[in-house]
Amino acid sequence: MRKLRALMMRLCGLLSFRHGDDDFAVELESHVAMHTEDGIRSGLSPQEARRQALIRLGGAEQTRQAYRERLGLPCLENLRLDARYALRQLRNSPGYTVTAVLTLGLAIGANTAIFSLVHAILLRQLPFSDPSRVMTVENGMDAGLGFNMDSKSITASFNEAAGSFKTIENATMYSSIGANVELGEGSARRLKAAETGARFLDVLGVTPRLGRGFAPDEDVPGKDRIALISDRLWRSGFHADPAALGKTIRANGVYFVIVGVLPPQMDFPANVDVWTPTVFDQHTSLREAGAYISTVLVRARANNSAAAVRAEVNARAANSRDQGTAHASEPPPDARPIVTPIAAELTKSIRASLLMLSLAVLFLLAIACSNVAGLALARTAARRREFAVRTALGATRRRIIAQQLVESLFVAMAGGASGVLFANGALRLLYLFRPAALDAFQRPAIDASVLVFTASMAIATGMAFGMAPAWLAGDADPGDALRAGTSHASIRGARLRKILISGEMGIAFVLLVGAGLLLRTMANMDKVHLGYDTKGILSFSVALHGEPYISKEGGNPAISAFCKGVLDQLDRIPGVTAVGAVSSAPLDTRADMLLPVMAADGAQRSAGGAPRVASNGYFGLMGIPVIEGRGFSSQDNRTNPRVVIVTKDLADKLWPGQSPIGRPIHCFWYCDASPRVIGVVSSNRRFGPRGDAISEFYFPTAQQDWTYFTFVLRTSGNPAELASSARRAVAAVNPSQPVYDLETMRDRLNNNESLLRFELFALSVFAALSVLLVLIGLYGVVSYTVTQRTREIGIRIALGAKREAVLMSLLRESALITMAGEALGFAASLVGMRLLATALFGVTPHDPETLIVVGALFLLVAIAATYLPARRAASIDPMQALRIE
Amino acid sequence: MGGKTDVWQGTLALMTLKTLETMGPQHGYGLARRIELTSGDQLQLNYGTLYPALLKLEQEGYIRSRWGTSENNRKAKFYELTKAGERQVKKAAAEWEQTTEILARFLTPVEEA
Repeated sequence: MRKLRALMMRLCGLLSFRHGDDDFAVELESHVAMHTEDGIRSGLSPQEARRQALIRLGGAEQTRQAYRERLGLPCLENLRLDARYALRQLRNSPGYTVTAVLTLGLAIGANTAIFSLVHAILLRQLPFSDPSRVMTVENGMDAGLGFNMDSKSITASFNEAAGSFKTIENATMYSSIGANVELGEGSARRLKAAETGARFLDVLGVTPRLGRGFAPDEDVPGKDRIALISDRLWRSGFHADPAALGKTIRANGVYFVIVGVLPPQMDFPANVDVWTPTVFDQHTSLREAGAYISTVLVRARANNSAAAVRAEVNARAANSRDQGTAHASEPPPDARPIVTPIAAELTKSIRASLLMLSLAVLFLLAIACSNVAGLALARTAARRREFAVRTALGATRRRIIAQQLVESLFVAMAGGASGVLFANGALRLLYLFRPAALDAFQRPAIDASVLVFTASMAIATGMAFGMAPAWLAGDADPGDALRAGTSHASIRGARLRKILISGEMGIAFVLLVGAGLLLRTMANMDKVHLGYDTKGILSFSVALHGEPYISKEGGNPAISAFCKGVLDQLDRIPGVTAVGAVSSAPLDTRADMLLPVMAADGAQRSAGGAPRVASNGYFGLMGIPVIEGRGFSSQDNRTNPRVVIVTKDLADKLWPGQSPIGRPIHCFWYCDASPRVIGVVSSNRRFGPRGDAISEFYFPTAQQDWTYFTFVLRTSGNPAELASSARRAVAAVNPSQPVYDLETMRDRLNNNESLLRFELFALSVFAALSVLLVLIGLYGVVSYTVTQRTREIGIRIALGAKREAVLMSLLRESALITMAGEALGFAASLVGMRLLATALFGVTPHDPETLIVVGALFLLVAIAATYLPARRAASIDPMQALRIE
Repeated sequence: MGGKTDVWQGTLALMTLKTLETMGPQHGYGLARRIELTSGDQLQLNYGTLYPALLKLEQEGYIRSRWGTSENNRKAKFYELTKAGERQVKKAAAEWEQTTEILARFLTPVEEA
């Protein structure tokens, strides 16, 4: 306690140092005066009395020093002096300071930017209670955790199955879908909605901020017309009015009563605004036609890990397969259940990219660190007289090292501070190239925890690059240094710098290979023949809901009338050269459903295919070639025979080696009238360059009702400019229909590749920065060598050495450093590029061309960095060089 | 300065506190002379060490100081005991007595039984 008090007082003493010191001077003076008076009184001469008084005091200056040390804290005091000295030193060499601070700022900035992404996404605290216990289960059907269509009561059998697990506390299913939502009277807006089991919130452990959640029995018919809304919708649609509870909203034509508002952090599934309980036993209302994908979500019992849940689910599934009770239409046994913790599931699309980029920026930081270490080493060598003088005057080795470290820390802190500024800009830039996967997460920001990260990174950096120079500074042998020869310390420093540069090259090599591989991947993707056009086409979607558009036996004329009406309106827009409609366009993110399709002509072959509707003119507009038969025409209407168009691969599966034209097909739901094939279109890569084509079969919009459409229009101008005209066209037919996903086909393709684009952009920037740093670093080393060896080179030239030989010897040295670095980088690339393997397309991680190009590039960089200083060396005038010292 | 004993670190603090307890407020010089006097001139105090020791006691809160005027009308800093200091004198004195008593037992020759 007393010690602590004393420490506090000494800390205060540090602040009011001067005052305490002056105070003591007065006290000491009065002490000496009193002692002197006593001496005079005892008969000494005034001079002698004062002398005696000072002797007994043990020296006024020594006493003051002892007092001073007690007054403050000597180590902090030293630090203060070191800091002042360091600042003065840094001010005296602005070139070094600016270069070092900028270099570190760039690297720390890159790290800060990437870390703020990692912090916002991977380290995010999920807004669930005890989120580590929440997991998704895929392929859980055999274990009873799935959408069991064979069961009489899907909900009951699911709940029963879930309740029988020892490791699972609670389970639910959910599915997220698009919904046309009307908050009151007026036009609908297109939002994301989730249909969930009644226990959804219990599984997640989320409590509404207002109102209540779903009761356990509210996913049964008659009780299910209730909804929870997001905080976002509550604010934008109800002005955050608590009276929103009890209000009725309409989603996809169905009325729901709002019973609760979820907290603002709750954003699961991502971007959903409306949650409703689903009656799994019926086709519930929110669903739009097409695929319905439900995800199983479980909460593990306390103290049960994902591994425990996985083991039990697997055991259950294996058991039911052995007993032959597994779901009949379930895919082969290798589709085993997958249990994934929710945090991993939510970040799976972007985790690998972020880890890769984190590694890349760490590499960049290592390069920056070693570059600044190189600069600092050169500075140490240049200052060795200073250190020698200080050592000779009694500075301890420890003090010199500490002082050098303080200097490095200052540089690093300044680097960290400028890094925060860089990071701010970098984040904005990164966001321009943000992948679609990032939209599911909150926008990263530089907050307190990111700043703490940056500060610790800066300190670690300062230590890292300050260590070697400080050590060498402390090593300076005063006699040696003062004699002004080439000291051991500076030779060791120079060797260390060369090793550092080799290491840097190795790292930069890896980064550049990574960027090169991604660049080749991008080029390969652009070369892929997609099977459809993406240029000059605008697309948007509309989903029809509500009474006028209810599907009816034998067709609802309102649906085909709507489609035809919109197409007519679109056709009238100036500049539009073609219009079309399809149920699901290429690059659509809507889930697909594959139905079994059978050849109905006795061949008895069947294959899976995705059913679609398309208007006449659609294939031509999209550039999807009709390779056999014909496309749809206006004659393909309700009164004429039913027709179907199949993709080439479907035709090949159903009628191998034969022409499919005129042959009938069978399928669920859409083939009652035995449609006959009238045409074959070529297959297309609807999932983008990386995806394979899937089999599809198309009905004409005039013969088959479908409740959602993607309209496409082609123009010779810029398709993006037609956006508002397209909205007006839909409004002219039905003003209450929301238009969504309004974007050009090109944008759709870009979104599809956005993650790669993001990685390529970020990695290219980091690789370019690293090469620039290496260039600067190598230039620095060679220049320094030339300066150090001016005398030696001068003597050589005086003795008759050819200038070319001098040039060559320096180039050779650089080449050696570079080769060593390349060897290192080559080896590291062979190992490291496996990380990228999943991102690559059409190129192997060990692509020899990339490796060769990068290797050659580095040699060029090395020559470029060496040439200027080497030429300076070769043009040294021997007379001047010898006169230098 | 033969014959006179240098003051040990640690004991100086106790001497200072004890002196202040008996004498009341004192300035540094007076305190130093007083300690020497009390020791019967057995102790040779290096006056320079007294002031850091006083500062330490002050930082620990056992004494406090203020400026005043000496008997010779000279500006001087006076030190006096605080409440905590009074307690500390008793405690430290008791400890010291115990220590010396124990040590005395070792140093006094014991007759063998």
